[in-house]
Amino acid sequence: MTDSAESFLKKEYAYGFVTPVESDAAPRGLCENTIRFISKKKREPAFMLEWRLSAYREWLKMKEPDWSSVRYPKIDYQDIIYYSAPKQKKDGPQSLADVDQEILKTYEKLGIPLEEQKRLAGVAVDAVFDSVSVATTYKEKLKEYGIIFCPFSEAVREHPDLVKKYLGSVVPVKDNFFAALNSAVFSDGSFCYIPKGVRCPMELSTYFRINAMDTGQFERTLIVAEEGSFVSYLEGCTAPIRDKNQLHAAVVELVAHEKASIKYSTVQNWYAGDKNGKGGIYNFVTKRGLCQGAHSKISWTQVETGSAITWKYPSCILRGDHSIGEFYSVAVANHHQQADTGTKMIHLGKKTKSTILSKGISARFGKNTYRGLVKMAPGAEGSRNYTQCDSLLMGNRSSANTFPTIEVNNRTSRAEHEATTSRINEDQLFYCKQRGMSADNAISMIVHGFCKEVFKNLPMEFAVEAQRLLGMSLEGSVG
Amino acid sequence: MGAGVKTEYRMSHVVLRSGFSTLQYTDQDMKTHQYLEAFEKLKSGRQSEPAWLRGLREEAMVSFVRKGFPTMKDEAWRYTDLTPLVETPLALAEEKPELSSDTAEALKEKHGRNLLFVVNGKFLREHSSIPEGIEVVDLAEAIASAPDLVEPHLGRYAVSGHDAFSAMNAGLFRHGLLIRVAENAILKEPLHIMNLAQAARKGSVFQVRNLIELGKKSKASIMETYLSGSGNRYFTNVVTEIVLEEGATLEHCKVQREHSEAFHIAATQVIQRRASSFVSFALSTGARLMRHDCRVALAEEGASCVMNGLYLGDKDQLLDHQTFVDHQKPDGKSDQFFKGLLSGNSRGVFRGHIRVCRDAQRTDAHQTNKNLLLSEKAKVDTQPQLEILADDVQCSHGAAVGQLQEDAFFYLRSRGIGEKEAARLLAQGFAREVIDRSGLEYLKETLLERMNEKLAAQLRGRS
Repeated sequence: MTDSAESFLKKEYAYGFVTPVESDAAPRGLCENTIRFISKKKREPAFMLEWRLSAYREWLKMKEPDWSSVRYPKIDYQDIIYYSAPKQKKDGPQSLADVDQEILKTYEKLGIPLEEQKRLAGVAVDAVFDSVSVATTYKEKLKEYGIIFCPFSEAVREHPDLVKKYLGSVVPVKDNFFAALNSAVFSDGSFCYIPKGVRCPMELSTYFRINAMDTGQFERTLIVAEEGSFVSYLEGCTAPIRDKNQLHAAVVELVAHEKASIKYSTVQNWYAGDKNGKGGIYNFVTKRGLCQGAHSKISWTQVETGSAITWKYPSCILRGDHSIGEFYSVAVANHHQQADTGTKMIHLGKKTKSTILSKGISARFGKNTYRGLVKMAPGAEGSRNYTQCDSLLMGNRSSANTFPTIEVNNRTSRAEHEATTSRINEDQLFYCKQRGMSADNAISMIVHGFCKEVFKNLPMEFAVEAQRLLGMSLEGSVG
Repeated sequence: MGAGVKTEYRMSHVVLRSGFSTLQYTDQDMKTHQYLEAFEKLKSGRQSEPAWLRGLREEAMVSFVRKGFPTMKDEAWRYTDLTPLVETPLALAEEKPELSSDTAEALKEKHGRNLLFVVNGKFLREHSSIPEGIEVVDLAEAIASAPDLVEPHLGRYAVSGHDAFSAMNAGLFRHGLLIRVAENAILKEPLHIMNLAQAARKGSVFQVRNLIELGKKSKASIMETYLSGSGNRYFTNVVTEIVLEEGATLEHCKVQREHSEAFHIAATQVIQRRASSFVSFALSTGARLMRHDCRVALAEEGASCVMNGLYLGDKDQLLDHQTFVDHQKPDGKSDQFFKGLLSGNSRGVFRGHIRVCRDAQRTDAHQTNKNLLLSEKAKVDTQPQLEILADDVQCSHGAAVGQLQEDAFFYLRSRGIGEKEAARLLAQGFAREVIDRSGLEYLKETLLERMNEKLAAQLRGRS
């Protein structure tokens, strides 16, 4: 690495503070009683508890997967606190005024517009603090459209039919080890339902924050878009700096009915550990969308800059004819971060289309893996896939892997995959420097150019944040 | 470290060293049993073999029996179901295969004079003509007469732990070829090895082991053809180890035209020293189930490797090609280009893995795999893989699966060309690119001919 490059990547993690709120937590460890405790805390109906317990029993039978490229010390599942909530005087905050001032300050520090009055960005936010949702904004306005946007635990109580119908329908309990664990102990998350023909008037957003120590965060998001509806959903995450690794195992399920469209964007900035690889979040997430109806569309955009380990494959099941799946991703692995991410596009319906665009950046000791599957079932006649995966390497200890799989089982479908791996082009760098740019600026410009195609798919506010994050997380590490 | 590397054996109660007779049989054993029996039978005749070889064989066989046949749960065999092979009763081929002078003559007439005959896995010197400047010996003879030539290489590259079939081969091979090209020798004419499968009363297994060594700055062209003479239901398991010393250049062409009921499993392991060059071409049209693992290690600086391949399948064929190019040292170059055409109910599998090790800076590695599906039921599974641990590299891979282009097809039809002819022209154009790229000028005609023969059959069977 050159010195100039070295200096580019230095800024520290800015969201690493801890908020001093008292929390109400479950005892350490996991057994059926922990699950009963969580369910009781959430005042859930009986069906939910049963569902959780059956998931727990399945989980006990399962083995932690070891097929990926990520390496980490064994997780002691009995040493995790599965439920932690900021202590409240009443059962739940009725309005923003009831929310603990400390928490509001936290979100203010993070730049999240919780205070509706300010109408900052015109974004409806559901803020999840450790295991519970602390505030949801713009609820009333959304209600006028018939849109339900609320904490998951509220949905379980108030819209049990919808929850019953869709929960686990895209990511079944038995899907994988972490999904089963999540199904058993998930504490909160967001629920969103867009009725037929409604175009959601604003961006919906959930902001996740891990605060307490030794807790795991297991949230669950479910978005259902009825026929002809549209929703754009954003998700952001941060956590304090801690020496110990913390587990985050979320499940996200999307269901798009006929002609519905869901756009799901993530800017993931969990604490990534220090420069020696100590601490950080294990981000083991299952995300999957089902294009149930004809002409439906699900689009995933993710910017992964945080977490010690990221392990997620936002996928699309293209069941409806003419349905569309998209995956746009930028994943950064700096210092000792490991990212094993990619997507699955399962083409079942006729004339379905999918696009995959993945950009991986590895710096210093970072390890970035793209792992993907494109499958054309025999019935997916006339389907089409295009995949492009590029990796950028900075520093001779970094590594990049690309492991796509393409299975084509019918003649009329086409799948294309292209991938490249290289380091920053010396000629481009030289050209910029020769025009009087500093090496830092030149590198930053080249990196942003590399990611541009993905960023342009993010909603405006997020694109700005993502660019800033990318610059921050790479500062001082380029070479 | 936790959930990381873990090896689990499917059976735990194999008793080793005290001889295989004490084995308790499980389901897994039953499948490997016939091979184990063959191993025991051969043992008595092997007392004269050097100790290192006996050790190597024993170890390999233990590893094979322990792990058993790979299943579709093994990542490397995810798309290749070995059940038909595993369940076919097979026996080692008899020791003295026959080849009539007439057959040999006829083949020479067709394939050129410089033919080397290997029948049922055994080298028949009397019918073969060996070009000047190259040394060809039966491997068994070489082991007996000049073990020093064999010991440093045999089993050192195609390590038995890698896969079951290499292990099985190490335990069971009796014959094969030792081919050596002296330092600075430049071969003017290509060497053509004709592997023939001759009739046997019941299914035979041919366990063939080859060792090819090219001295410094030498240059040679070697072509291997696998053909069925009068045999049909047989299993060829061939392991070839190739060593290219500094500055050596080898052109290697493998044409697999086994019988449509045969099984063909091949492993080629190449070790490249400094600035050596390996150019290979694989044409696969035969066998009911074929698998070729080609592993190339660019073990020293500045080595280069070009691999081209074309696989054409129809009926129920399964054609599986796997490559592993391992860039271990700086300034290496590799280029892979594989194409497949599948018709009928056939299945194509391709997995190409490029690894660039930490030291291998300034590596240039590329790979392309393209497939055409010619029928409703044909299938393709492709997995190009890049594993890059160095930063100053240029690497890429690409894969595509599709059908004959509609507009091209329409264009030809609009010019009055019949449907079948148009399909043939397009398929031919698609396939031909690989042969044109291969740079093996002297073989081009032969390869095109083989390609066209198979294409005609494929398009006939197109549904």
